[in-house]
Amino acid sequence: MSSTRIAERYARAFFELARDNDEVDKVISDVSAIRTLTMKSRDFHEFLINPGIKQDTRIHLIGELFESRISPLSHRFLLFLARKKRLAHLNEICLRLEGLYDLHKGILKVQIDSAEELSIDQRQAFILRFQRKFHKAIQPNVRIKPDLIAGFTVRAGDTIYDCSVAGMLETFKKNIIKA
Amino acid sequence: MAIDLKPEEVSAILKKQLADFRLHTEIYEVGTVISVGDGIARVHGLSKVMAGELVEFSGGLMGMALNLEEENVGIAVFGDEKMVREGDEVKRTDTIASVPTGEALIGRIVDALGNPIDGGAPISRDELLQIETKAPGIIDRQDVKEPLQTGIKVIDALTPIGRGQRELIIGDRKTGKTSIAIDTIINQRGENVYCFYVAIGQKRSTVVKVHETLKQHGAMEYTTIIAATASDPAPMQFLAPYSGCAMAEHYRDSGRHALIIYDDLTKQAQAYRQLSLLLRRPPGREAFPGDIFYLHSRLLERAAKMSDKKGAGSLTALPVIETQANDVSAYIPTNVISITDGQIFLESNLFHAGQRPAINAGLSVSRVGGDAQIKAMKKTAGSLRLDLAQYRELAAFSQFASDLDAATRRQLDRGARLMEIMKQGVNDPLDVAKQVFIIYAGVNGHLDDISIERVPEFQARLNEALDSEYIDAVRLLNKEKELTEEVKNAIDEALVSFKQNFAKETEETPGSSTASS
Repeated sequence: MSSTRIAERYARAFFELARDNDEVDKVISDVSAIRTLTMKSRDFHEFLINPGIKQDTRIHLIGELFESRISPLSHRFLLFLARKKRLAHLNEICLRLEGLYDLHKGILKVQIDSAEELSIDQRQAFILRFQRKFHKAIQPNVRIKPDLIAGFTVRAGDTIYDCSVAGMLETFKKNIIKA
Repeated sequence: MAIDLKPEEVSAILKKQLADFRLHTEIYEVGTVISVGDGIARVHGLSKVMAGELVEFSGGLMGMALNLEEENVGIAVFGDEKMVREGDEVKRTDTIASVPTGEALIGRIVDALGNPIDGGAPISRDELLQIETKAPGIIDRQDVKEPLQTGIKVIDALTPIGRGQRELIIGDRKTGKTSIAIDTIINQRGENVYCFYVAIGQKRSTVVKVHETLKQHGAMEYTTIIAATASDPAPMQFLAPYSGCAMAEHYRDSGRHALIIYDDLTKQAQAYRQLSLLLRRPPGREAFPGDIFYLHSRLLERAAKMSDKKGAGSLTALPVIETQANDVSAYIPTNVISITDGQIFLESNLFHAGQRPAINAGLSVSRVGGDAQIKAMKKTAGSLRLDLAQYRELAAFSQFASDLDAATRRQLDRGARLMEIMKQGVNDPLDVAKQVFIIYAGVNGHLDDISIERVPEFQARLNEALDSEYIDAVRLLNKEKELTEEVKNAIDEALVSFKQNFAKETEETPGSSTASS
């Protein structure tokens, strides 16, 4: 079965369980911590994906590592994944869980790339504009990209709103080639 | 071809583009490349992409969305996949693959997307047509009734092709399939038929050769070559026939006539099989995907003779299929045979025996072409078919017999001469009136007293004489287009007189004989 489909199934089941237990916020903070760990610690990442590690060792280690550090529900979920031999998909499952949380809370994450640093007012203006457009709480992530020359691009989901000079020049170039 | 660049024109274009330049927000949908390999990119995102939509990779490379799956989109990459990397952005273009059409394409060589590859000027993309369109409906069509002369005697007489027909050219490798197609294009000179030659999976050198031949005979003035050669990626080879068809449809739908040659559809089927397997579609017989029949039927259904209300234009299709060891019962040949309105079957045995074009008259048929033959040819060819069939039967039988009665020998002699007149050189198409003359001579016994070796010479001389001495008879036949008593008498008179001259010349030439073989 494909990795995305596995992640979707486990994430949905776990999320629904957390919601029923009214532990969504706690669980999501655990998930973020686990995801940060997988990204930062190469050893932990290796441990998740290495098929050479025996299942017993894996279960034992997961138990020791997380027992007192995360909520009992999250801990049980990790052990369950270890028993089902699905730890290799942990990162993707976490990503999917974050997506489900955003959907549940009505949050829209947008990626703003700007040629220059945005002032607080500008940032507020962005948030307000997108809040009105999507009727969701906007969670922006701003990056500085001098390649854009001037202006900005905003990515919300799969859609990009390109208002940069670099983008306009590219369109202009294409139109000239076509003409 | 040198590009005629005028500085004023460039300035004007730049000025116009600058005047239209406005600051605006561009909104587009993107996805991310998850994996790429074997010409297929798997992309995450692009949630609203359409099936068959063109997409653009961040390097400027184009692709076509073929598989829309739950988690990702399977995209066929048009070009070098090495330019695409994991994590690259893929942009939607909101357009289904389309190609430029119109007169600007005449005389050009283009790729499957309509981009020129002959080093000439860019082709204007003002007039675009989607490459995948539905075939004309039932009401929009009419019967095939006008002939499309190939200039090849054996085809025009026995398996005539009408405008709007689909006639398959099938045979092993090196049996002269392409030659028939090229001769047909050459013969369309002055007939107001726009020709399209789609080369699929061929060597580039072959395409150059075809181009040179067409140019030599002045046929590039009304021909476009669409080339997706063996070195082009499979998606291009799969698309090329549809692109060519879209270009030809422009003429069909504007009340004009077009001829398209798909050389060859076996290669297209193989390219599609490659794509389908890489896209993980389930394989069927000979590992072809389940929709391989539809691949060809939807393409060939677009050939049609349009109704008078729709302008009475036509698109004639001559698909080519290559067989292995004369096996017409393989998957793709049987499919295409069942789709088309007849087939011209070429055999390597005949080819090597010197019978060229190596058409097997017994297995070749034309299901609708008879209605599109001129009456004179239909009448003449009627007895030719019968004579040839009898000859084949007797020839096979007589191989075991030593003594033959006079009637059988006569029939064999007649048949041998008919087989001889069916021979024709490459790139030497013949006018229909001349074809009627020579076939008439053959079936009515005018050649019986001429030795087989001298039949080609007789034919060549007769062709020359028909252009000069007997031009009135040719004119009469062209005018009447029917074998009336008057026309018959004119032909007989011309033939008798020509034969006398021919015999005299032969007597003057020492060493030559007129004895029957």
